[in-house]
Amino acid sequence: MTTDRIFPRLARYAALALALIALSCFGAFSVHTLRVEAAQARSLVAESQSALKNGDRAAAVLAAERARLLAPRADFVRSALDRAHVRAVDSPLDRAVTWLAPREWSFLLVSFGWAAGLGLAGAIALGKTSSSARRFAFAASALFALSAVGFVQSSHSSRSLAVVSSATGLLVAPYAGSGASADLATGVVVSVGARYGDFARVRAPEAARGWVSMNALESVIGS
Amino acid sequence: MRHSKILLSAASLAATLALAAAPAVAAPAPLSVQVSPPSAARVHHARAFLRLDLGRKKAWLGQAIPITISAQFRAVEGVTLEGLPQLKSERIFTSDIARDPRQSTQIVDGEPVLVATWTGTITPSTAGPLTLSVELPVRIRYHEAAPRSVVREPQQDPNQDEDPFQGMMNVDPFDPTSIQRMFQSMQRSLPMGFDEPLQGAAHDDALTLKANAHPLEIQALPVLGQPPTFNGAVGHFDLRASLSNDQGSANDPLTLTVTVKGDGDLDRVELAGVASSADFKAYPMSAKSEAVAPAKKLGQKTFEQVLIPTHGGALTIPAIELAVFDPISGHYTSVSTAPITVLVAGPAAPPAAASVPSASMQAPRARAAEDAPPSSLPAPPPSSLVDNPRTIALRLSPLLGLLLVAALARFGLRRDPEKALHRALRRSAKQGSASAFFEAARRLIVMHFSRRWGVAEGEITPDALRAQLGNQAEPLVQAFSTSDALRFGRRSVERVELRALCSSIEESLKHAA
Repeated sequence: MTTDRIFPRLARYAALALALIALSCFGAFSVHTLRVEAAQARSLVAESQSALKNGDRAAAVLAAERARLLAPRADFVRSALDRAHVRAVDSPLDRAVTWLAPREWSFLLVSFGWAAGLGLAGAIALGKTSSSARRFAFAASALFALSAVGFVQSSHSSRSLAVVSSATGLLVAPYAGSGASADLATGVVVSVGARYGDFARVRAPEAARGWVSMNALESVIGS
Repeated sequence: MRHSKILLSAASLAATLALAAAPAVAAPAPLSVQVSPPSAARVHHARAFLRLDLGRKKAWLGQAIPITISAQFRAVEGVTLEGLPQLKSERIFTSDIARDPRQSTQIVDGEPVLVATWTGTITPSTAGPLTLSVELPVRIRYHEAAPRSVVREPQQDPNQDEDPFQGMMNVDPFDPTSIQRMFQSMQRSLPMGFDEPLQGAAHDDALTLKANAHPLEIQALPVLGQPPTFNGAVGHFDLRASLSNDQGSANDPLTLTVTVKGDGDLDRVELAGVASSADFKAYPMSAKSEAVAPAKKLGQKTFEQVLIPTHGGALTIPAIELAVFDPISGHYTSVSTAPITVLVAGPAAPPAAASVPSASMQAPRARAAEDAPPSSLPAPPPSSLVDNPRTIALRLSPLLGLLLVAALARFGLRRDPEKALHRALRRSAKQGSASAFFEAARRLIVMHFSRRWGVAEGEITPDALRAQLGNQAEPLVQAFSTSDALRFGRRSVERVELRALCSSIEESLKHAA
């Protein structure tokens, strides 16, 4: 076998080995990140429990919701949410998307982005001779697009989450003198939509909608 | 201001109304408030007076001192409290007095008196003499006693019993004075005149009752023997600790509840709680105040602390100690909880903590401990819970460079026509396309040798190749001849044959160079 045939093969094997090493490192990093996030979620759950014992329900719900953003599938987070009597305000699409944490969506997005990019680069470099590179690039691009949709939806629903920090009324119009269609107790989770001045249109549990003063809300991911 | 009304019972009302007509209170009494000297500790009023009782002359700084405030009302029809008793002093102290008084009717000097009693505690905050007074705003309603048309004979012989109904037997229907005689007879006989309550002018007056207490000497706490952990708890206390669960799991929060019971000012009792250790991550202890009636001598205060076991095993929560000053003995003491052992499920403590490893083993273990994420990490800032799209874009940006390099590489390969013909040759051999293969082979051979020999492409013929290369030209010449044969459709070539020919052509081109 001549050297000009051995080298491409070696290069191919080297590329495969490098890809496997990169994948292993990426996997190890992912596992470590997930463990760190679970540990951070435990701190938030403890904060929630402490706040609940001190009678500060808004702070308890806020901490539990933040823990949910870090570890949405963890049992201890679900228990904390149950203890704080948090009622979900998510739509069915949100519930499907929030099965993964926002950070997990971004992690998938970057991973599939790199896979799609590498596949595309290979397809460009090799041209028509490498149909497998094209197929790989296509599959990775499709997953990249899916994860991009998931990331955008997850990010949007997380950013719109807020907790009622002081009991207020659910107003029918965005001004202080308007009538209230319902009362929002402290600690109720709402989804914030459009804003008008100091008021925000919110969706409360049981599909109740109305306007609430921004001063009575505290965003789950901060302002 | 809080108003409360003292309701008189039917019996006490009758007694009160009877008292209103008594000779001792027959004259209208002035409603001015008389403040007596401090030694008297009592302010009198004809129908209402206030009393403040401390029950001692000396106390310690921070000691809870029980106090009793009693307001007494007599010969009144109704009393409305316009507020709570207000303690006043120039020295600093804290007080805790029951909002609702205890009501009772007592016999004082043979007279029924309505008594409202408040109990509570005061806690002096500075040493020195403490003078204390109390004020109570009230509104009382009563009737003045009018001059009586019929007065009982005080000189009447008490031994002489008279039947109140005797006069009824002697009524003469033709004597107009016989009815009057009968009423006089009944009034002499009955202990209470039945026509008296409706006599006299009605009054409804607001007044502020005042009373002073004996001066109290507040002694400073001794510095000698004061424990460093003492934070002002004075009294007699008992500590008890309990855990939310006897068994737990590593990294699952447990709640430690410490209850302080005792006789003293519980507001001054603070506990530091359990400190974080290798076994537990401890959160700050929080006080959970419980409603304790101020009159109740023994109070209770509950503290709670969240503990997170960091590993499995039988873990012991250490005793919690409270330094206390005993006001009776005048010495410092300490009370503490019993240590609690809890069984925690989960991985045991790292071996490094259990045994002392050799020096060569310590470093890797320490590194491993650093690498492993702790069971509970500080919560991240809320804004970092969701990645910013810019961050995502930044992480993907190196791909643009990679794609650019790939495009440039592709572009560079295409610019060399001979390399492109090489790729076309291999691709057609791989695909088994004979016509494309020989077309590429012919063009490749002609281009290669015309470049190499510096001659026109038309001069590259099979004969010229044989003349220049000898036997090495055979695969190249075969490519020419097979190409011609295929062109006129006289033969077909298998894929295997094409691959072999591709290799031999590339070999010949390389060696010829």
